[in-house]
Amino acid sequence: MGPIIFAIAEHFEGKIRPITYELVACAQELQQHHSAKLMVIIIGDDIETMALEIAQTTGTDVLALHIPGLNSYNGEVYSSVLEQLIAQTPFTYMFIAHTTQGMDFAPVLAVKTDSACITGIEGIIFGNNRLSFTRTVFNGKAVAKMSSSTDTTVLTIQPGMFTVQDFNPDESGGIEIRSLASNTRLTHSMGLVRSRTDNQTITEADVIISAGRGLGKKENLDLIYQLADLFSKSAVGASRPLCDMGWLGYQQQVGITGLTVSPNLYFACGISGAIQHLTGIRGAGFIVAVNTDPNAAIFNMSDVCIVEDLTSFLPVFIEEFKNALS
Amino acid sequence: MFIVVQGQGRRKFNAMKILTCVKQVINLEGDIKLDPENQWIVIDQATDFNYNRFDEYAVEEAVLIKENFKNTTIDIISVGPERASAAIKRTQGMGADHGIHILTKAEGYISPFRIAGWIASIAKERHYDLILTGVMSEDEMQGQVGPTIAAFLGWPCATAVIAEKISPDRKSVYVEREIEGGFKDTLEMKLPAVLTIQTGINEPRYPTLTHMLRAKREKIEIIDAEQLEQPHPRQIMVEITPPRKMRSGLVLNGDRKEKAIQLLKILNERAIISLP
Ligand SMILES: Cc1cc2nc3c(=O)[nH]c(=O)nc-3n(C[C@H](O)[C@H](O)[C@H](O)COP(=O)(O)OP(=O)(O)OC[C@H]3O[C@@H](n4cnc5c(N)ncnc54)[C@H](O)[C@@H]3O)c2cc1C
Ligand SMILES: Nc1ncnc2c1ncn2[C@@H]1O[C@H](COP(=O)(O)O)[C@@H](O)[C@H]1O
Repeated sequence: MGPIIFAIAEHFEGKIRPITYELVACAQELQQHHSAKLMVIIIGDDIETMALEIAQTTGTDVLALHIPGLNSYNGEVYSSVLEQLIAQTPFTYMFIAHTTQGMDFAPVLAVKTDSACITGIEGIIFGNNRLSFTRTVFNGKAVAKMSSSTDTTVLTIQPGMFTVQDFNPDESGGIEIRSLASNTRLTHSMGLVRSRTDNQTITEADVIISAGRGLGKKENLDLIYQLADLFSKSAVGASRPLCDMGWLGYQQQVGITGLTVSPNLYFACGISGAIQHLTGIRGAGFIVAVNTDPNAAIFNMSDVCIVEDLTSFLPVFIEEFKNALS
Repeated sequence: MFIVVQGQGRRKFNAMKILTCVKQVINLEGDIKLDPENQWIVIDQATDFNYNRFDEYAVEEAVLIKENFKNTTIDIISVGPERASAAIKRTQGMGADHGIHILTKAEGYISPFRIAGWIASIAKERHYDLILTGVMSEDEMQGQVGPTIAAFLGWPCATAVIAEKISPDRKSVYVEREIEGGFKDTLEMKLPAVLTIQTGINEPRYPTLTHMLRAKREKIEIIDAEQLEQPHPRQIMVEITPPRKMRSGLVLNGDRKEKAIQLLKILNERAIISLP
């Protein structure tokens, strides 16, 4: 058997997460430079239907590792079953989602399999006869090109970076199901708990005015609300630190661990543009950013860039807006 | 009557030994310049450093555990050039006890396998109950060092932890991990374990004067990285480049009023607002 690329499917409460298809798309891009067979692995208890869906949608072979009783992710189980599998079927590249799940077991698996581990990759580059992978560093102010110095590499893929075209396979991929026992010695899963109910106001708003740490003082939230009031169907959003500080609720947090939004206008005030935040706003129709730092990463994602102190710019803008309306 | 001393023997009953990893990073609100070879950023006299904001939550969590379990000691470890000791001092100001500095010679990228390998080799000899790290470093943003340390030590690891509670017998820890979509995952792990701490789990305190004064007297233990085993780095940083623009990014010019008027005009043209 030739070289193998594995992609580890991510699923949640019986549904395949979209990132799984992004992993396949990304692995297929890699296959253009690295001739190897791609196989998707799905791990869990009730996974047959999902395995079938992946095989039919993508045309890729799927190996379903059936673990009785494993109803949700458990890091110890994932890394131990994958380690066992890899002992029998060596791989060259393994694609894992750069999510709170993938980030939890990818580095562990890399150690267990003597692999390199490159996390949060956003692109694949082939040049000088070698493959390298790009990832954001310095809070979005630079991009690092990484490559591996080992035979096997574990990669975690930043969500939203590899677009999924229609796979249109000629035929469905094959499915193999293997049952394995899960014996966890050190960790015991106690279940998933809902911690937030998603906020309809913000996901359905046409305009989102979002505040970040650049707000400086809680009192300045008043400016954000005043601005939001001038638009119809608007809502106030936030970057994570404001929610961590309790200035706004977590149901207003935009980003990878918050909400994904796609308003007509996203107005980012004092937000640096960390990749975890940007992931939540890719679908926005128009993005305006106000930031004192001309090199803030948010400006690379903006349609209009305003290099200003928000505490002095927003009052002027609000004033002019009111004038124009009257 | 005998008092049963549990764990590694020499510890006092009810004591915990915690290691917390902290990193010093450059202040990312300032300008960053790439060096001419595109290998790293330029670091000079003017460069301003912070201690990784994500690590403050890990240090605070260690201090909270110490307040709960008397006789707990908190060791802080940092890998980096001489300047990294400033980050350690700051954590001592928050209440950490002993600082360990793995001193590297130069600035530049170090593979997380190296960093984690060095930290694990130190941790192996010192019988910690718990190792805490931040969820990621602000500069490298890999989220790797914590789980990699755990894998090297064969300990369990939970990442993105937003709540933890150590069992009264100090043999296990209950943790809640933040996951996407407004859920949290709950689990229990045997100690010793590694936890990577997500922001928002607590409110990091400011260093206090008394602690800072004590920290000034405390000696940081310095270990030369070159004296340690050199784990295979496994990955190489080929180069570092400026970011790509994802959108057109029209930069508005003029004074504030002019910018405000231009923005209104653009929003009106795009039919995002409708001005009379
Ligand atoms: C696993 C994980 C998940 C995460 N999930 C999310 C998420 O879902 N959502 C999210 O937002 N973050 C998330 N984060 C955090 C993320 O990495 C960043 O730390 C966060 O987005 C930074 O928020 P910020 O831009 O408000 O703050 P900072 O990065 O501190 O930026 C503040 C900005 O304000 C500017 N500024 C300062 N003063 C002014 C002023 N007076 N006027 C105008 N501008 C000013 C500064 O130049 C700077 O650019 C996550 C992190 C991890 C590790
Ligand atoms: N050089 C370092 N010295 C000490 N701890 C580190 C170092 N680099 C990373 N860490 C720890 O590991 C966490 C994750 O870092 P990273 O894997 O670089 O994203 C950080 O929040 C720190 O707690």
